[in-house]
Amino acid sequence: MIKLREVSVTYRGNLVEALKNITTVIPGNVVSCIMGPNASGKTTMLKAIAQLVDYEGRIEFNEKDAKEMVKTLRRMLSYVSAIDVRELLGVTVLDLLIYSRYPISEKFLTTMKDIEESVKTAETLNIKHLLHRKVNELSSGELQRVLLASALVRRPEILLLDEPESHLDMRSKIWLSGFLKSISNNATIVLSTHDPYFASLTCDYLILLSKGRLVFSGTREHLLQNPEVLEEVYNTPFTTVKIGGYEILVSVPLES
Amino acid sequence: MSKLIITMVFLTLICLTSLTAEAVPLTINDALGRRVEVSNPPKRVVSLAPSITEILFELNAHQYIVGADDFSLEDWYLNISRILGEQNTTSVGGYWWSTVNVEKILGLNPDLVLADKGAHRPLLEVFQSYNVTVVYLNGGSAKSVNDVLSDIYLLGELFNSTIEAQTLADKLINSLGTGRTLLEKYHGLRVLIVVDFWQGIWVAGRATYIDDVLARLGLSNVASTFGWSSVSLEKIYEWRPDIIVVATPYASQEIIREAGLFDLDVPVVVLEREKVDILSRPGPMIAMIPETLHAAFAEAFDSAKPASTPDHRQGISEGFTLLLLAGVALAFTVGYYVGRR
Amino acid sequence: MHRELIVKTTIAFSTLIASIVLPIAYTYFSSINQDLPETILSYRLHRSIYSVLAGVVLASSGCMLQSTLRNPLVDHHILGVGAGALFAVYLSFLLHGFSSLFMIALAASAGGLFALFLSVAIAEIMSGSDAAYVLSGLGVTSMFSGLSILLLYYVAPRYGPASLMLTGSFIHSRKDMMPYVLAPAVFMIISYFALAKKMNTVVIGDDYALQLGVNPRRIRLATALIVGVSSSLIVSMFGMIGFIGLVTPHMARLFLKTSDNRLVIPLAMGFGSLLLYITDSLSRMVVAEVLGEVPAGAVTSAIGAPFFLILLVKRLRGVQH
Repeated sequence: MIKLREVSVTYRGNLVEALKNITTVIPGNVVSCIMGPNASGKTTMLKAIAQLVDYEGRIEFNEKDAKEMVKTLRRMLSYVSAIDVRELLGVTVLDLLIYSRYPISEKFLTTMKDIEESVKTAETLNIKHLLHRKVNELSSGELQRVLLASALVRRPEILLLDEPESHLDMRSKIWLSGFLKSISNNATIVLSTHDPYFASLTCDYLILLSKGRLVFSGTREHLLQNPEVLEEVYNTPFTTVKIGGYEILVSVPLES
Repeated sequence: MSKLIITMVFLTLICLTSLTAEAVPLTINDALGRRVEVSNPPKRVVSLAPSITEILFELNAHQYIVGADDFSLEDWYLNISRILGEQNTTSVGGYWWSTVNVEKILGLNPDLVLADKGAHRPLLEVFQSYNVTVVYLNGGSAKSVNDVLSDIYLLGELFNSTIEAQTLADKLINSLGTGRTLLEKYHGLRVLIVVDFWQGIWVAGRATYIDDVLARLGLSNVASTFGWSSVSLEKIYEWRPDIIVVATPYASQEIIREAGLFDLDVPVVVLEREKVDILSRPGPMIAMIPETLHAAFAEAFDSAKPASTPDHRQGISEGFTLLLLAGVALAFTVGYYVGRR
Repeated sequence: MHRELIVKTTIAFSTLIASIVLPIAYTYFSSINQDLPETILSYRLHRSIYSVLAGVVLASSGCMLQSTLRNPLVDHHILGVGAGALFAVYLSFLLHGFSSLFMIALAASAGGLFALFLSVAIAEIMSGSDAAYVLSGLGVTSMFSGLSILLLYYVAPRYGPASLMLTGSFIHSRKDMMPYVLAPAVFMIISYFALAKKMNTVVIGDDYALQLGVNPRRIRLATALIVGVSSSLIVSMFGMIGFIGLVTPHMARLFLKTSDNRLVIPLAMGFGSLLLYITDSLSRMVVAEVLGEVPAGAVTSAIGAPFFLILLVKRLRGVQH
């Protein structure tokens, strides 16, 4: 369980208020989504939770102040965002997985355990055949799975993902959605997205941000019953649609 | 009456022809193989090297020098610096081409610029584009005494001083001959002339005029490399010289010691400034080389005091290698523990 | 997978150890029965030790900078150390002439460190990012190079051969240089153990490293200082040696098919020391007979240039995805 109490983040010495007084509770062992248009503060919120930016206020993990457990946090929390693949000096996928074990690796040199865990994780994500490929030669779908693998190789308790579905084709999106749900039994997963369709498919708990403020936080059912909240934030109407036992949110096409 | 007029006319014609004969320019081949037309005689001359200036003084052509390089202006030989000072000769920069002030040269409007093939070749195009007559001499890149002599002859031709030139040439050859006799008791001595210390030890190798001079004096130049070359202490040791003569314009005892020359158990004679000039000017000063060398040899071999200050810093080679390996091993262990965190 | 790793690790470390021990041993044993005076034996030994250790320092400097600055085309020159050293040497020529090699070395290290300080300070003020370091280093290098050329005008007429600049050469190896060569080498080896793992994460990205618990700015600063000081000492002793720092990391990465610094740095160190030792020996034993010494730094730069171009072409052609 992640609690945020009046968390605010400012950049450039108080000129840009990225997050304003966010207070909410993110439940554990489910997939939660942070939604909102661009520049609403989604990435900032994730980074704050990951302790990657400075913030005012208090963030607690299971009742303990995050700032006091930074070291343990590195071992139990993974933050996945896009990486710049241009200057990677020929890093291979296996290299990346091994590096990602940094907080929990025991020896200076790579151990058998490091390799075993990396291979296992690669198998789980179906990228075992990519292990010797260079990271900058992967397609975006493959890269996304590699990044996910690099986050999971530490078996984190908390997994934070920044727009993980953004460069994926439909099939991969569906796959990702299912995969995240399957591992949420053992981890608290928070992802940011601006695709309400993906959010309604994947997440049990949703947080809606607009210009750094918290507009909505609640379960999926709750949001599905009130799609007008989305309309306020996105300036375009939404509606729920039932497809094969699933209720999802879609935006209503505008009359031209 | 008519006979008088004819004689007058005849005489006038002769005078006229002799006048025009004066003004006919001279064409010569310079050291770069260029055919150059020079006005005869050149009245405004710029010299770019001290050895050239010295030759001009010997040829009694110094009064034409309107501009010269800084080293010429400081030259002690034949009171050159004083005389040029009295002549108000203008400085045109340093010796090396990149330090020559072309503007000043152009401002002097010279009839002739005398340059060194080795040091000033890059300036050829500049001079040509400004229509400045320039003649290149072998100078510092003289490969033998004959090259120096051809410089002397060329300058003699240019200044109508062929007689003085021949005298100078003869004097040089003779001095080398008497020098050989003077150095008889050192005949075959293995000599090494060191000229600089930057990035290695620079020595006078084969095909330099120093090499030729040493040969003519009956001495043996141990350097086997070609030209002015930089070698290591090891190589000098390999050559097994009997004596090392250091002729650098600015090296201190410190540098020579740091280079390790004193550790070879070979007498090292460090020449003072004037003697260094004698060994570095491919010109009339060559005549003074035999005496200089003789004095150096005498100091090294015949006087009781040692010419060098041998430094007994023995290389503790084995100890050091062990220390080194221990240091590296220690680094590994320390680092390993540091990195384990 | 694991066996592969063991093989690679063995290759990397054994090459490193062999490359340090073999050249020195070879020099020692081949000279020991030649009845040489103590001075010459000491000279040869020291010269080979210095070329080996300089290779180690330069190669690891290249690796570390390439990783933390996320740029495969940099080596220690990017920090401005060489240009600063050159400038300081010319300045000292002008101010108190050519008094001793020790003074020259002192001036060079002072100049190099000053240039390093400038580049690091500017980079940190800018943002402390990889691009900041590269840009600030380039700026500082240009500034000192320009000033050097200016000073050269005044230095050249008095000290002709000094215009050869500080081309790297081991020709004047002396016993008293040992601490200044040993210290950087030891320093680099210790930093390898301390930083290699962290550098791996910095290569991926600043955010990525942060979330693993590695502070990329701190690593970058530490690397710049360590590399800067070490290479400044090497440059002040021996002059500028190109190629080694730039290309040995690539060679090591290609050979091992990985970019893991824990393996790449030792192998690159091995390559670096072997290369420098061989180049120096070649110029010392083969060429010196006829032409006099050709500075090892000139040779490595000459070989390095086409190699570097090939690298560039490969990179530009490879970036297609």
